[in-house]
Order: sequence, then structure tokens, then C-alpha cells
Amino acid sequence: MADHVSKRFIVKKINNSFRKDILILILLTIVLGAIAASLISIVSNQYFSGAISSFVGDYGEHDVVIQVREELSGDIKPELEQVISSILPGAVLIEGSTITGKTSFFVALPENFKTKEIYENIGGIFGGVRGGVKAGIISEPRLVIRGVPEGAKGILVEELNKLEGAKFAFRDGGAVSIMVPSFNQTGELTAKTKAFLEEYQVIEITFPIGYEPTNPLKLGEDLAFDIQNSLRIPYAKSVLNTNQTDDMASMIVTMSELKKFLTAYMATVTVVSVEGREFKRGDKFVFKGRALEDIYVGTESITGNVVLEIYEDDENMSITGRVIQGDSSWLKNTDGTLQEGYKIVDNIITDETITVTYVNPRENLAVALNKSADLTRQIPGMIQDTREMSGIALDILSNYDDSVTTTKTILSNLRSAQGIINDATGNLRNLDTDTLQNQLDASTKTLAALINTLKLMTLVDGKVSETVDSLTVTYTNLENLNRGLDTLKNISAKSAEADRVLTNIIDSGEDSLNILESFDARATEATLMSINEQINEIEKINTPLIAEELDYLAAASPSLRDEDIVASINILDKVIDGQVIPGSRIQILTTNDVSIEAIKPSIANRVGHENFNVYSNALGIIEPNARAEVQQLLIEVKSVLAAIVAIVLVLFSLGLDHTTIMTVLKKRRTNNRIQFASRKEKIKQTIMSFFGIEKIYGIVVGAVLLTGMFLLSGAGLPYLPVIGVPIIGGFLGFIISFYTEKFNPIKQEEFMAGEALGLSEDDIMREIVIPNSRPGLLQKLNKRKMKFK
Amino acid sequence: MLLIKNLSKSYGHIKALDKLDLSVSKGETVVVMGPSGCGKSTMVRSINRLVEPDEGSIIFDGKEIMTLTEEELFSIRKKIGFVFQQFNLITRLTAKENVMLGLVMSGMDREIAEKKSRDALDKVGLRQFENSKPDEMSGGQQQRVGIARALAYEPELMLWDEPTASLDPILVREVLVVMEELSRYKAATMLVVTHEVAFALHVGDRIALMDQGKVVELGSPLQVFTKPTSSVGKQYKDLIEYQTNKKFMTLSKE
Repeated sequence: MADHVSKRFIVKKINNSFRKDILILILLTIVLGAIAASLISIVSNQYFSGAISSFVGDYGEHDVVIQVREELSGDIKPELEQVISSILPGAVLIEGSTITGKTSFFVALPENFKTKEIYENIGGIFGGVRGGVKAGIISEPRLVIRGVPEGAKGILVEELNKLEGAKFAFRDGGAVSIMVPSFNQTGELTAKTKAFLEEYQVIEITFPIGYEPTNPLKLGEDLAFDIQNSLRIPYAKSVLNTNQTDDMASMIVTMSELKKFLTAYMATVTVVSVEGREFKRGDKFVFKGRALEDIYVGTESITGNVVLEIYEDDENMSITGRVIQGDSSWLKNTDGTLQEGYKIVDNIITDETITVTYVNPRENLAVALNKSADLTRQIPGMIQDTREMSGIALDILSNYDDSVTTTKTILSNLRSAQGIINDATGNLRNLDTDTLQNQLDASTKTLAALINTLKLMTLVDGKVSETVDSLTVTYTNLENLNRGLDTLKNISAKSAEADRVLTNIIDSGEDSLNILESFDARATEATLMSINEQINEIEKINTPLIAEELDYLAAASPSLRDEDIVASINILDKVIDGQVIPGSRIQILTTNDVSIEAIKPSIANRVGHENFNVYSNALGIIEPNARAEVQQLLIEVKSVLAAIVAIVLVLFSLGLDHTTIMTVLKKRRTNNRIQFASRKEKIKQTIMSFFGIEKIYGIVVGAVLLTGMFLLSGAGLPYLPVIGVPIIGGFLGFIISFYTEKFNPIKQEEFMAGEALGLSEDDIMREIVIPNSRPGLLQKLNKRKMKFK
Repeated sequence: MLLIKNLSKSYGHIKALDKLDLSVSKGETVVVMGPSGCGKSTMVRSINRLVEPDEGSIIFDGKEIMTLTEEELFSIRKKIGFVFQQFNLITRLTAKENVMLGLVMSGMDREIAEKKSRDALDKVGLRQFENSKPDEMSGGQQQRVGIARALAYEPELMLWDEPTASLDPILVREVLVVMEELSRYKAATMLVVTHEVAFALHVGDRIALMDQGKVVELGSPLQVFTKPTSSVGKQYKDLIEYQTNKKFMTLSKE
């Protein structure tokens, strides 16, 4: 019955004059709301447009923007004017706004300077202005293509210049841009450019660290050739740009180098090979290290121990490891012997032992630096010694010519002496002294026998004694002669020896003389002089400072422990794992019909492995025009503002005006509602309240109001489709309908009095309900028809 | 003039009216009494369909009210004056405008309506308050304006829904006097829902006692209150005896 009454009431509403009031109210609300929303959005749009124009000028008004630091703008302006008058005569310079400490200058170029050459060189034209100003092209209408590989930009510019309708294409900083003759042609040219870009793709092949090609340029060209031939495609060209750098690549390179550096300074521990023992990567061994306690089997390693992890087991059976706890220097005992290691299994020390040797580059570096410092400290002394020796040498060289002459004279004298000796002793050497001596010996012996015989005879005959005496004298003379022959023999030998010696002396003297004569004393002297000069230069070097620096370097050399280095390397490995370093990337421009899978075999065939990734990228993406974007943004802001205003006005209208009607509808609906309802009936009532006539009214009116305002004012919300507008409006009406009595309560008693007086619903609304409602448009409209004002 | 048959009205499982039968003859004053919640107000409001009955028949002036169109209902309501317990005056209007409202809205000339309004206010002794707004008057005065508003139509039937229930005892009298005058001297046809026993005895031609949505006893005041057959009637009899110490008999019409 209640629903019946409500429906009847709403039908009645539509059929009586009050319907007109509601319709007028709705229409008027829509119109006024739309006007208000439009006005606010237009005003805001003009404000923002004005603000933006002051920042970047009007669309197409300027061609170049130059940004300078605010504090330099006053000084730079004359320089810019100078550049313009000399290189771009006729161009107009305008100073724009200053934002975040940067002042913008705008340049409007005359038509004759709107060329590819000028645009591509705009940075250079203004590059001479101090302060490193940045100049960019802002000519409009223009299409900007981003994401073009550096190596493909030239090709793309060339091809885009051939596009029908394009004024010209040019390299626009990091992008490629196309100047469009007029704004109207932008859409058409955008479509053509898009179609062109879609015909191509950039195949990018990347290689992880460790698999980088040695010559990526050549590999790129070879791969392009392979792809073109094996797949029989019309176009494939390597567009690799080796100069490309980006932050990520720089970081990866830095990290890779850092890893190399750390690895170079990491101690390598080599396990002394034990036959029959097997080691595998990851095996761990613990050494006593600096720990105060000894190692006990069955316990865990402690702080101060050195823990070694087997890292490599190469083909030469050289098993190496890295120290993952402690430092390799701790492996040495105080007596210089190396400690014994115990295998760790499941963190428990076992009795399986190893012995190791190690090389610690950091120790070596420290030693080298210390030695170098010591050596450097000795340089001043060495310079002094060298200078003295050089002086002596120069003195010697200054007497060189006299020495040669003296040598010649000595040699000549020696030759003369040799001749004299030879002359004097030549016959003597021919004398057969041995035969003579033999004869003399025989004669002496005979004479001795004779004398002895004669002595016996003296016993017989005294006269014989005289003979004996005479023979004795002879005998003595013979012996003396024999001795003299010995002397002669010696003299002969000595003279021969002297001759030989002299010959050797003369020969060697002549050799020396030859050497002396061939020696370039002047050049040597010059060399020594040069050495002296160099010594002087060396002397100027502040060797104590170098020694001090070397000491500093020794002290500052990495004081990292091996455990720190290994940990750092592990972290670096994680970071750069799978990353690609510059130069390990190859880019091939080809047609869009080439699939990645199809070219993988060609790549694998070229590089000999499959450790690479292949991606397909667009040749470029047409970037939405910044100015057009701003314009679009402003339009969106405008429509959003209009939408917000419309929503607010709808809320006001619903809250102030339509809640009056909704309250009456609700009253009608609930008039005969069960007052002492059971729980089941209350649930039913609650559910039904969601479909009450006032809810439907709220939904319909909310939807109509908001949709009408949106349509008339051009309001819109991002990502909200048109169908969403009435839904939001309906939702607002639905929500408001729940609070209708709070917005606009009606006086039940007065309402009932009106009914009892036989007033029509129309009259009750006009004379009782609406005058008591909140002031709104409905009340204004109602007032003119009220009989009791 | 008014014939109610089998009138029923339920609020969920609560039966407010249960096949109620009642009639009021022209010029007759029927006083409806009964305990709170027995359905008196529902019954009296059902007559001009301020409350929609579930079923039954209400014949007024020969017309079946239950089947009237809205336009007919609005028209019939003008023939039935209704006085509310809470006065139900339009607070923004003056006493005169409150009385005029129904007249003007039914198409009556404004001047005539104004004159009728003043006359009605005269009848209830409030001429001097014609320009006063309800919040400037006492409860009794407001109720008298409510009566004037009902009388201005010159209704064929006056329905009273506990007109004195919201008034303090002193103010009750001025209202009852007006009501008595209407009944006694104007021979108005009235159906009065009230708890005023004295008024019922003085003014009522017939007393209808209601209980649980039904008329359980109907008859002259003497009959109902001296020889009650229902438990409600007996309770009223005890009450009257207690209040009047058996002197009430002499106060009755008979």
C-alpha cells in the first residue's frame, strides 16, 4: 500500500503543475550550474594560460628558448643580442619569466633562419655565450620523436626529410624532430611518421659481463649482414653508437673496474696439493689465525680464525681459495711458518687438514712502496756520485788525445826495444848451449879424473903437482864456463820471453790504440754533458716529498682484510649480475617483419655462445608535443575544475532543493510503515529503503543534473567515461537521499494538517513544505506561486 | 452520515483496527474512548484517509471513501473538519491565515475567506489573536485556532483526535467549552476521541469503548458507564465512580 501511495504520489507530481516547477528547477539548476562551472573553469584556464604563456610564450610565437642562471641574466642579455645581430639578424629576443632561479629568453627567428642547419646548430650558435647557456628549439608546429638510437638518428632524419608534408627533419638534442608547415597538417604528418616508424624496429643484442664482444662494431656489421642474407630481408644495418653512455652503463663499468681492482688486491691462497684428496668449490677450511684459542675438532670456528673457501680448482690441479673470514696475513705464525687448516663440514670443524701457501698483493704492494721510498731517499746521494764520476770521466776525456799519442810512442819504443833485444840476443839464441854444456860436462869430468890421477902421481913425482895445479885452474875455468853457459841459456830464454811479451804488449797496445782511435771522445763528452744536465734536472725533483708520498701511499694502501674484500666482491657480483656493460650492446636497425627468434641462430653462430639477450625496440616514439600537452593539460584542468564545480553545485542543489521533495517522498513511503515491526520485517524495510522512491528520485535527479552540467559546461574528469557522469550524479543523489531529512526535515504535523484540510499535494508543497525548507532555488521559484507569502 | 464497517488496519503483526464497525448519525456526537493503543487515533484518521486502512468500508455522506480518487478525497476532506491533538498549525502563518489557508486553496475568494476566518475565530473567542502566530499563543489558544480552522469549512462532520491531550488542565476547559457549544447548540455531527470522561458524559450522545482495535461497547453514556459489559467499560465505571462519588448521574444529559 505504501509503495502504491508513493508511486501514485510521484505520478501525481508529474501530472500536476508542480511537475513544471521541478522541471524548471532541474533545467535552471543545470543551466546556472553549467554557467558557473564554465565561468570558473574559463577564468582558471585564462589564468593558467596566461601564466604559461609568460613562461614559454604563445604557441609557435618563439623558436628558440635559452635558459640562463637568474643572476647572470642581466649580463648575458647583451651577449645574446650580440650573437643574434651577428649570426641571426632579424631575430627577436624576448626576456621571459624566471622560474626556480633560471631566466628564459625567447628568440623568434625570421623565416630564412628556420632551417635544418640552423636548428641542428642552435646549441653551437649560442654556445659561445658565457655561463654555458642552454638553447633549445621550441618552434611549432613540430613533431618530436624520442627514443631513437643515436646511431640511427642520421638515417631517420634523412628518411623523414623525404616524408611528404614535412618541412624538414632535424636532430633536436636527444630526439629527432620534424617541422610541420601548419598546425592543421600535424595530424596527417603524425600518422605518416607513425606509419613509417612502425615499418622498422631496432634489434638490440646485449651480452652479460664476461661475454662481451671484443669488437662490437664489427660484430654488429657482421650480424646485420648475416641477418639480411640469412633471412632475405631488404634492410638491416648496425646502428651501434660506441660513444653512448648512460648513468647505468657508467655505474656498471665503474663496478666492474672496482671488482677488478678488489680482485687484484685479494689474497690468493693455494692449497698444497695432496694426492688423493678431492676439493670442490665451496669447501671451507678454518685456520687458527689470530684467535687466542686453539682449534678443536667438533667445535665451530670463532672470531679471529681464518676461514678459507675453495674458489677454483683449475686443470693444473692448483686449488685456490678466498679468505671469507679474517685475513690471509693471519695464516702466518710468529715464527713465519704457515698454519694448518681444518675442514669445516656443516659449520663443525673436522680433523681433515690441509696446508696452504698464499700470495697477498697488498703485502707486496706495501713492501714495494716502502722499498721505493727507500730508493727515492737514496737518489740525492746517487746524483752526487754520478756527478763526481761524470767529472772524472770528463777529465779523462779531456786528456784522451794525449793518451793516444803517448800510447803510440810507447808502442814505437817497445818495438825498438824488441828489435834491440832481438839483435842482441839473436845469435845467443842460435847457440847450442846444451851441446856445449854436455861437452863441457864431459871435459870437466875427464879433467877431474885426470887431476885425481895426477894427484896420485904427485905422490910419485912432485913435478906433477904443478901440472895438477894448472889442470885444476883449467878445471875451475871449465866449471865457470859451464855456469856461464847456464846464464847464456837463461838470457836466451829470457830474451825470447821478453820478445814474446813485448809482441803481446805491442799487439794489445795496437788493439787498444785501434780502440782508442775508434772511440768518439767528443760524442762521449757530449753524452756526459747531457747526463750532467739530466742529473741537474733530477736534482731539482723534490725527492724527499716523493719519498714522503710513497710512505703515505704505503700507509694508505688498502687496509681491508681479505674477508672485507671478498664480501665486497660478492656484493658487486650481485649488483652487476646479468647487467650489460657498454660496448657489449649491439643495435641493428631492420624492418619490423623480422622476429627475434629467427635471428637468434645467426647471433649464436657469430658469437659462438648463447649468452646474450635479444630485444626488439621501436625505432622511435612520437612524443606528444609539449605545448600541445600543456594545452591539453589546461583543457583537462579546465574540464576538471568545471567538473568539480558541477559536482559541488549538484550537491548543493540536491541538498538544498531536492531533499525537500525527497523528504516528502520518503514521508509518503514510510507513512504507513510498520511501527512495531518484527526483526524480519525490519530487515525487509531496511532492504526496501534502498529502493525507496526518494532514492530513485535522488538517483535520477542527480544523474540528470550532473550530466546536464557536464555536457553544457564541457566538464570532464580524467579516465571517466561519459557513462560515468550519470553514474556519479546518481550516486550523489543516492547518498544525499539517505540524509534527506537531515538536510530538509519537514514538519509532519503541518503536512498532515494540510492533508486534513483537503489541500492537494501541490498546495501542500507550495504553502507548507517548500516555505519551511532550506533556502534554495526551489524556494525562490516557489515564492512566486505562493498564496500566503 | 458516517458508517464504518469491518475497518481493519495492521502495522505488521499489530492489529490497530480489527473489523471495526461504527456509525455516526447527523447531529450526533459520538465519543470514542479506550485505553492507549487501542486504535482510536488510527480509526479517526482512517476516516479521511490520513491513515490508509487495509480493508473495510467507510461511507460518508453516501460515498465510499475507500474508493475515492485523490481529487474526490481532497474534496471530501473539506467536508470533514479535523482537530489534532498537537494542534498542527502552520507555524509560519498567523491565526487568521491558518484558518484561511484551506479556504483560499480551495478557490474561495480571499476576502470571503478572510471574513469566514474572522467569523471562525470569533466563534472560538480569538478574534483579537487573528494576526498572532502560533508560537505567540498558548496551547489552548492554538487548539482553538485549530478548531476555528476546522469550523471555517462549515464541515458536515467534525473529527476530534484527542484535542485536549496536549493541554494542561486549565486550558482544557476552554477547548471543551467550545466543543460542547458546538455539540449542544450548533448540533454539529462530531466523532470525538478523548480521555475526558466528564466531557463524554456531558456532550456524548453515544459512547464507543474501544479495545484491541474493536468497539467493545457502544451505547448511551449511562448505559455504557452504569451497565458495562466489557472489561474496559467496567474499568471506566470504576473510574467514574471514584472521580464523581456517584454524583455524575445528575450531570448527564438524561
